[in-house]
Amino acid sequence: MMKRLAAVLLLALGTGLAFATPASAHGEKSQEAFLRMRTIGWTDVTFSGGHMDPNGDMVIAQGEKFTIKGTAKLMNTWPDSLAKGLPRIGYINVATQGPCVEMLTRTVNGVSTPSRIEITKGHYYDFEETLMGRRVGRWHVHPTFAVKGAGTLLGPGQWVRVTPHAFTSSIKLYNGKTINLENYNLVSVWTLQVVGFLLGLIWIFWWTWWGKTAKGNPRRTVTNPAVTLAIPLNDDGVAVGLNTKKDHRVVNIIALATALFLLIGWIWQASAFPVKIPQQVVEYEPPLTAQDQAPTLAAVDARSAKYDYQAKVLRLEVDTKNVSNSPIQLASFVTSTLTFVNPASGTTPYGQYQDALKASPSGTIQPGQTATLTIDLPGSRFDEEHLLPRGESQLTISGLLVFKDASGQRNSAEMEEPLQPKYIS
Amino acid sequence: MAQVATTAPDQAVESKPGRGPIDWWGGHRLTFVGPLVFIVIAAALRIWMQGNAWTIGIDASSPGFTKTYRMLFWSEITSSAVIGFWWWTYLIRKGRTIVDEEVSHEVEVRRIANFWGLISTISVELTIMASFWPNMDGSWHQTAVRDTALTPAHIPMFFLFFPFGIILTVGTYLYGRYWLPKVYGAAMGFPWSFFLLISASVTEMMQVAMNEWGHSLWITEEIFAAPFHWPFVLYGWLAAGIFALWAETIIRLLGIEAEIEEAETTGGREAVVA
Amino acid sequence: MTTTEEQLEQAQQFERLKALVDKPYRWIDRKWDAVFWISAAFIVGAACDITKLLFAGDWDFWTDWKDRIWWPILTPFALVIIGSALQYIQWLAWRFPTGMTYTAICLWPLATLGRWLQWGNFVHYPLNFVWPTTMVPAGIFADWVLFKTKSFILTSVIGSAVFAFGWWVSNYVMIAPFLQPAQWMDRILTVADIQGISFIHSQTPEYLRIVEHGTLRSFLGETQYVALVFGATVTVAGYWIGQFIGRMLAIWPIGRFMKKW
Repeated sequence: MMKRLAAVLLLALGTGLAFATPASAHGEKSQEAFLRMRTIGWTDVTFSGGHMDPNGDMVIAQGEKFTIKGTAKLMNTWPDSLAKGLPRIGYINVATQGPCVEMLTRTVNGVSTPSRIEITKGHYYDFEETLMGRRVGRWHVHPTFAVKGAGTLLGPGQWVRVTPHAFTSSIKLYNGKTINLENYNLVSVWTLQVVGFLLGLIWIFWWTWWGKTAKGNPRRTVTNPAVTLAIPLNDDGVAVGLNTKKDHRVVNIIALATALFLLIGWIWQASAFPVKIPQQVVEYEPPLTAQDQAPTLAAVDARSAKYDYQAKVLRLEVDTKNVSNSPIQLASFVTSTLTFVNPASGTTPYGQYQDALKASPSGTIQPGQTATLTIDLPGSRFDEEHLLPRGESQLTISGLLVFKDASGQRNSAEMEEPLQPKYIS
Repeated sequence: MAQVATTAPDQAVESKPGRGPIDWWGGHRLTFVGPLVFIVIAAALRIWMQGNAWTIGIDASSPGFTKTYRMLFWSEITSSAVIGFWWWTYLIRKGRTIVDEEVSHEVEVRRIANFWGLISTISVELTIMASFWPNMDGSWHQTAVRDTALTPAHIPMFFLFFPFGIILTVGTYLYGRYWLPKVYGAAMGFPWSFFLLISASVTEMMQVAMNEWGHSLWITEEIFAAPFHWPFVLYGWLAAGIFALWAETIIRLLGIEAEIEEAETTGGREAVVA
Repeated sequence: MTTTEEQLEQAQQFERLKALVDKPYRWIDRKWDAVFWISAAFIVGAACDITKLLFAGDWDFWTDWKDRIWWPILTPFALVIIGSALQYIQWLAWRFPTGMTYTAICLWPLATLGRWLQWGNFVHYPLNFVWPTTMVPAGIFADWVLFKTKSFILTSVIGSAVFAFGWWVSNYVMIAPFLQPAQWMDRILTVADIQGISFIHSQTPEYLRIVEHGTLRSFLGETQYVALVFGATVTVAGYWIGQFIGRMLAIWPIGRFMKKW
């Protein structure tokens, strides 16, 4: 019966596997929609390097560099339920299937940033990460913004195909020596491990196999309780012949050999690596960006966010007041990993995470004027990204409305509005 | 149950050469076969995942995942339930017919060797459950964004090997109760050794539910050594009861040896009383 | 009974015990010993592994977590627990001073397999980044203390201290090369820090690292040794947790049955 079950299982798995297509999401679709929409606004995320193949994959070789650039806004709509409503520490990184790409450099707001940053709600973080291909295969790479107490939020991803090529992960030490991170001291670490293990094995083999009782017979195990339970706990069994003085000598030798092994190891590391420092904690607050200091272009007040499930259209109505000195136009709407560009503003969507919106009125808003923008967004994109919070406890739509003025300067305004789904026709 | 033995207690029963009660491929055979079954299952799953965990297993919302990992999940739940109940029912039914039969020492020794084979199987199965898959789980969760409760590491760990921990520990108790009545017979009560061992596997299964609930609701980051995970360790310590199983059966083996000695001193045939 | 009779009885009992040591049995041959040692190896190693993973796992996974404060406090504590339980069981039952070393050599292949197969082969971290700590040398010292003192109370104090220090020396030798400084991303970082940042692990942002963040006082650079001594103290506590497991969960249930349940 077990054989039959196993056969059925294997057949089913094999069949399923034959028709399975690779995934492009990496857990973000399981995060609730409010978590992804109200937290980080990703704008202008671009991948550059290598070359693009006809499928839209970026192709790079092992060891070849590529760059991810973009801007992440820590939104004011940040929910209270995450990090107690007060995000303070962040880490900008990438999400992919393990270390298939390797981080080389990272700047945040123009400053080199190896580790964590101190963050403030409402601020912008311009990031630029240079990575290199490491593991051959086809990987989906996203920029990420992790916030302590909230977890990791993913930005729009890009398929990256890494092709074989010889490479090293070179680092120059304080003394000028160049090492390869991939295998530095690999042999010495595992030699030390194995030697230690062998010493322990000798100890156990002595007691379970090689050692003899006082009468010279092989030492037993399971039958010993007949004796051991009749002698005091603090009796080492030598008097009764279970153990011998030779055992004492042997354990002394093995313990001494072990101590000697450690002493030699200690002397080796002290002389081979004379300069050592503790692991470093680097934490700072990035300077403000130009966008943080740029004058606001628009003040927005969302009036409704309606979703028609049958027509698959998400319609936003937003009162928009131009508070600048120049005519402004809606350039795009950004939420979670998705960017919906306004073709009327002269941009076209590109990549897997961009689409077009329809704004009406589509033209500019004059300084001081207020217009009610009706923005239609393709609902199918929200469906694919699991961003329409149908069965969730927070039915809201949040995002960044990006405006640009006559000089091309851009700024964003956040919107948040309860979702009004239309459940029946 | 008191009966006078009608045959000499240690009279050799016909066994093929090498298949005696304490031969490696005789009484001790299950010690090899039982663990091997679980090692092969774990190895097969692991090998299968090598090729698709990072392409399909990473996204529980994809159709490919439904066809593979989700189906594996359902297969595991179903097969665990079916195999578990089939085996327990067999043990109870067969056990009831043989529990009151007087058996020779040789047969009893073979049964104890078999029992040790079951314990070996539990030991290996618990190892796969508590070390092999958790290492994969750690490597997965510290690398990939948490998706659902059905990750490539969780599926074999929580939904096949954890249930089989319960199946094996309860099944081994049933074997002990019916095949080794002098050690674990029902009249003596429920053994504390088995209570602890079975509790370990049951509470571990319950902890899975708490674990997933916490990860859904408030555990946002992936520290492995988080206090929230500690019940897995505390419940696992209850499995120390397994040592008592070895001890209790060693005591019975020494008891058998004492009975043999006594029989030999007093002339053998009529001396042994069950 | 007179004193002479008592002495005679004790001497006779002693001779009986001595005879029992090498007594041959009809059915209990050394195969049972082999089955026991090899079967138990799995569950002992697994128990120690899961205790280590969930009490101190993160420090064990990554070189950039192996700092000089938390690593030496938490890891020996986590490792000593199961070893202590086995020390009690193996001393009580067979008078073998092997519990700690046995646990260590059972843990080592499981930990090594886990790192190589899962962290190395499945996720492809380099094995000089994710190597596990070893407790074998430390275990040898603790077992040696038990054999010499024949006392669990003395072993809990002296043995635990020796265990903690032995563990630290044997593992510091391995982390030392990765504590060398290097200039990277315009900062001075250790090789371990660079490994942690370069080799992407998306779900463990750098801020999760529980490492030394700077202390109130540096005791002229001796915080390491203060942490070590505290680690030894915490290991004593771990030793007694292990004794509880050995005495109450492994030995106490032997031959005990619940009448009502």
